[in-house]
Formats: sequence, structure tokens, C-alpha cells
Amino acid sequence: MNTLLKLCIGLVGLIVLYGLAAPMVFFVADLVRHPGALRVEMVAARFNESHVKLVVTVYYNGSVELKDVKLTVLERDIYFGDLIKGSEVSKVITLPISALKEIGKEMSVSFSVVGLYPVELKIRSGTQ
Amino acid sequence: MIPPKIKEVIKAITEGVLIGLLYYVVYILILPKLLAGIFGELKIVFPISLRTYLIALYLFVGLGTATSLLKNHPLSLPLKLLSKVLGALLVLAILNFGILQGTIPVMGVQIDFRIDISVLLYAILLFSMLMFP
Repeated sequence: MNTLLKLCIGLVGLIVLYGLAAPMVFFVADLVRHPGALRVEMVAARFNESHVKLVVTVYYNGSVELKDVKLTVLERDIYFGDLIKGSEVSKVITLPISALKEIGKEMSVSFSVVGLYPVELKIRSGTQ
Repeated sequence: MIPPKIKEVIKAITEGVLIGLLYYVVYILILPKLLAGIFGELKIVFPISLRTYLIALYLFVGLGTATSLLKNHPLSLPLKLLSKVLGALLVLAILNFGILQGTIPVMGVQIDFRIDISVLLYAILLFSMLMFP
């Protein structure tokens, strides 16, 4: 193959690879440097005798866009859409009072980093 | 005095072994370390057994040598393609087809993560297929 052509392919390839790898590297670096860059907060308030109103807020302060953010709590999916730096999105769900104890035990967050890298995080507490 | 024909064969074998070794070093030794380095804080380990290392070495060196020996034969092109495809498949299998999984403790909570970086991996493989001999 012509050396110049190979050099051009190499250069273009390196630029494309950098473009592909950079969002994931920045995302991991953001989370490592500031573990609070992606934060989920839940506040419960009594709704009626049997149910509570749960306000779930997701805060995101990372440098790359997160797409299709979804939180699964007690087998219920809560969609937050796309998040960019400084995003703060709240959703309200109602739950039976008895389910409150189970909330912190297991939940999962899924999203994709700039729509290219699907990520799934399962948070377990109380178990090792 | 070594006859020129034998000299040519020895040269082709040496070239093939070196190309095979280059593939081996880049794909099996450097690439997993590079990916593990990028995600260093997640402490990702790619469990590669000694047997896999040996199979990869035989495959890359063997196919490299065969391709080099049959350089001017019509078989060389499919062999070259086969070598690249098999190499890519081996790398993908070693790197779990780009799915990184593990568990990290954060503030007393266990977080199981699953990250799919297959797009990046395919791009790296495609790029290396175009660039390497």
C-alpha cells in the first residue's frame, strides 16, 4: 500500500479512536475523581394511609452526556432521559408503605455514555 | 554456501514468525493491559490462562509464517484474511467481547457494574487490521 495513503489512514484512524475512547475515559475519570458526580437522592413523604410518595432526584455533574438514564427500584423503572453537566431531574412515584424498607437493598441504574457505551450499575447494600 | 531458494524460505519463515509475534504482543499482551489501564480504578482483570496464551502464540506465529511462506501463492490472500479474522476473534474472546464486569465497594455499598465497550474494541481491531501487514 502507498506509504502516504497508509499514513493518512493511520492518522484518521487515530483521530477516530481518540474520539471514540475519550468519552468513556472522561466518564470514568470524572467518577473516580468525584464519586458524587452521579448522585441519586430519594425523599419519601406520606401520600395516604397505605402509600407514600417517593421523590427520586438524579444529579449529574460529569463532563460527558449520559443518554437514556433509567433507575429501577423495586422492579419499577423510572426514566430520566438524557443528562448533561449540571442536570437535576426529579420523578415522583407512589409506593406501598411496606415497600419502603426494601428500597435501599437493591436498585439499579442504567444509561449509555454518549449513546455508545451501555453501562449498568447494580447497587446492593446490607450484603457483602 | 546456502542455496538462494533455501535463503528465501528462511527469510519468509523469519518474517512470518516476527509478524506473528508482533500480532501476539500487540493483541494479547498490550491491548488487555491498555484497556485494564484505562479503567484502572475499576480494577478490571482479564482472566487469561497460560493455555490461552500458548494457543494465541501458536495461532499468530503459525498463521503469520504460513501467510509469509505463501506470499506469491493465490492462497495467501484468504490466508491473510483468515489470520486477521481469527486473531480478532481470539482477542474479542479474551476481552469478553468488550463486556467489562466487576464489583466495587463505594461507601459501604457494593456496586456491580457492567460496561459494554465493544464499539471501541471493534474500532481498535478494524484500525489494526488496516494498519498492520
